[in-house]
Amino acid sequence: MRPFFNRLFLVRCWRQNRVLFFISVLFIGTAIYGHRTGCEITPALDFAMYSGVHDTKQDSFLRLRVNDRNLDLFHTLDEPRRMMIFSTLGAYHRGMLAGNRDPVEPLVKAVVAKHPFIKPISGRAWCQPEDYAGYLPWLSRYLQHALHEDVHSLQVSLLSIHYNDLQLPVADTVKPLYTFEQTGTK
Amino acid sequence: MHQPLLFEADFDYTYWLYQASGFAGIFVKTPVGAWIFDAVLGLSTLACWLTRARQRWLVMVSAISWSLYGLTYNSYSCHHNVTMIGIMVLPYAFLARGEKAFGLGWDGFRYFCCYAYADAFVNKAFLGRNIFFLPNGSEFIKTNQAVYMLDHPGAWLTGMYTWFITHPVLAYAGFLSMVLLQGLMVVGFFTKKWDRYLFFIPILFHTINWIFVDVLFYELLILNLTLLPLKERGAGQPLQHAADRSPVGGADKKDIAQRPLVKFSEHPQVIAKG
Repeated sequence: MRPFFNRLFLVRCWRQNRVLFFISVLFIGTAIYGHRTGCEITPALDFAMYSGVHDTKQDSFLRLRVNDRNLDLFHTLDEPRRMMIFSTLGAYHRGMLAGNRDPVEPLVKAVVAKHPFIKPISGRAWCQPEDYAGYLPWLSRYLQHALHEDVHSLQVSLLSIHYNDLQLPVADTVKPLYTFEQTGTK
Repeated sequence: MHQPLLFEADFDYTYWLYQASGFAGIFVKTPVGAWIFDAVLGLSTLACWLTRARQRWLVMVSAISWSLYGLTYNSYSCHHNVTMIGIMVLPYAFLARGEKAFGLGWDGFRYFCCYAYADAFVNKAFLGRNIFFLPNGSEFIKTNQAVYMLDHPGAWLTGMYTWFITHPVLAYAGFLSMVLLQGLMVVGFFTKKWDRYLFFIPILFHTINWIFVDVLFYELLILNLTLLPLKERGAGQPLQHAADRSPVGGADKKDIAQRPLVKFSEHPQVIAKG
């Protein structure tokens, strides 16, 4: 029993490096706190992605047309760039649906009301309306850099689909949402 | 990033602190600030390579820069990509003074690597309990590949996805295998002898994920380095394979043996002899 105890990481840390011991204990504590409350403290992450139970029947996706052609970034090795485009686009759409404001704002305020000790760091935890106003011009600039070509038009639409009896996707409607025309592009 | 505007702090206090600090206002939203940050990140990392991380202040600058880089990317890509976490934390291992402290810290990051996959397993098996839900196999394929399948009806990948979606039991078997692969990383908490095999689990896991759900998590593989054998050279001793030792248990015993005898006199057997 004693050799096993001596081999434990925390025991070795306690004996050899107290700073590392306290960092490790802090990490374990914050990981438990994050799992219990849903409020994480990086780097003590809660690796909960793809752990839900779903059986989706209907779905919708944002489509982006750049210079009148669909942006096709499937199975790219350039995941970071894809995230910068489509993930931010999703955030923009959620903001538009919430009336040009960050839908997280009321949720953060509700959490802060329950835990006032976090109020000092919560002041900038959501986007401002002016951030949304400048988003499409930024996306155009970013795409120009990412695609290495001039971008003169963007069209964002919402593709609605359903899954048939075999669970295969079937397109239903495409609803235009936002457009952006670049002026002065050569 | 071209001075991005939208960000996501989510419900993560670290990201709230990052936004509250004002760092983004200077080093993300202004071109000059962004150039300065890129230069500090690149040069400090290069300097660490050139000096073999002997200058601790350089290591500290580089480590903090990588943490800020991860926070910035995750904030302004509006998604907290857990795949960035390796590069955000691993550089701090090189702050250790001496080989022994480094070994202990490196061990800590090895546990962190195992934790990442083991926690994902626990979430699926015990908290979310979705490994007991048969439709989940085809669910993750269809919701992640729907647009690809509609845009590329003749592609061989579409054919493969269609086959798995229409055979939900096989899709579930695949999903279950993936979850169990993550669960195997729990072994790493108890022994290092299997590290040479555990090393390949994340590679296999992320490759299959990329093919089936189009999620590329290869950046997380930097934590895999902690599963490679760490060779140490003691004074006048040959190189030793880490996996041949008990998990640093040998060093502990050595430490105990080197302690002053007074410590041992407290041992009941020693007292009995006395």
